[in-house]
Amino acid sequence: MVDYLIWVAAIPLDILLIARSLRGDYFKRYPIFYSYISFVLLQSVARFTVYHLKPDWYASVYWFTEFVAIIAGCSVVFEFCRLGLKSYPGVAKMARVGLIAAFLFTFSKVLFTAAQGTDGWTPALTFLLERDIRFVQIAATAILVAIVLLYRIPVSRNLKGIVLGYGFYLGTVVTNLTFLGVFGGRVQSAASRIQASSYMVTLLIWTVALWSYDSVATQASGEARRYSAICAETNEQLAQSKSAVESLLP
Amino acid sequence: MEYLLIFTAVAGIVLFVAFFLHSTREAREEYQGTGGAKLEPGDFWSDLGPPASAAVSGIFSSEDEQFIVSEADERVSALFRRERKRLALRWIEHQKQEASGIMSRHRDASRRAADLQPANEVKLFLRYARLKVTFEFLAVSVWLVGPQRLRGLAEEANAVFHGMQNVKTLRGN
Repeated sequence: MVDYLIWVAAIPLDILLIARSLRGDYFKRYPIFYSYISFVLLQSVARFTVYHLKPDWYASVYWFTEFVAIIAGCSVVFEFCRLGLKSYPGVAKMARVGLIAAFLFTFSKVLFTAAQGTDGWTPALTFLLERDIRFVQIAATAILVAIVLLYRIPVSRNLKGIVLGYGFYLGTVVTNLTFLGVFGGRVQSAASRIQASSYMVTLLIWTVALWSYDSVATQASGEARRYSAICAETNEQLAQSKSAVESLLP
Repeated sequence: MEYLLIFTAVAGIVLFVAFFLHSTREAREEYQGTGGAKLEPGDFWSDLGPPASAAVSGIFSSEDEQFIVSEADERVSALFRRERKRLALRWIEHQKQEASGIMSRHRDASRRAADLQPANEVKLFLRYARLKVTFEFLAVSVWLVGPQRLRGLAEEANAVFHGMQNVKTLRGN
């Protein structure tokens, strides 16, 4: 009953988020993010309808829409990268390299899990595969956030909310799926409740963060120096610091 | 058996971290108490010109200790060793803060550069990480053996390393 209530309550929150975006014209400002939210809303409605009208189809519809949602979820990370680093092309380049590295490292794990399914696809393996794909997204988000923090890139409240909400959701889902993969059906009821609740919390974070538009901070004015000159200067300073230590030891 | 191994490994890591934090805590606290990286003209650490570098070299040399040991009693020698260790750790902490400042300034400047090269950034970061590890290793060594004996220890390690290289060469021949 509680699961059902949480599930149903998420739909009006989705609608509220989209309604606010249409009213404030935020859809144009964050088109990819709101497209994702619209997709999730359609997905929830479709699952809800199938659950009541054709319960036999529910499992197939659930897994099909779940995997499409995972792929669509990547767009949230992309939106953050696109808007947050718009004024910092150099850092954006750095983020792209980091994202590719994260993708390559973790995708190999996804392939490994998927390869296990050739002998017979079990429900536990499906959970583990979803967890691995979600892990790609977590790694990508973590790298992006690390780069933003490291280079002290100013980020608007809207973007902070988007990444915080999505990061929270991913973290909960990965933990949840790990337990499901290990303990199987014994924890299914608790796991589905946790997953639905975490999506509710995520929606609340997004609703608060995106209630009003907060402009994306632009680059501070002033002349940007050439990277080679900056790099040479840093190298020289680090060499001085190193030689100060080396002079003490033979 | 596996649990015992895991427990030992975890206990070892915890002990190492505790030991490592303890070895550098004193210097960090004192350094922060003196106002961190805010240096004033004429500060002992503010420049690495000839007088300051000579003084730093003096902290890590054993000449003064030999003199104190030959002239003063055990209490004065102990006080001397404690003060030298404190000074050395403070100098290392200062160097660590300086290195962090260099990287912080670099990131501030390079975030606006459109021609930023990720490969160069990674290389710089690795260089900085190596430097930080050297500082941490130095701090632990100073805490363990004192600044005066560090040079002797390094010389010994160097001699052992060369000895091993010679054995390898002989075997190769």
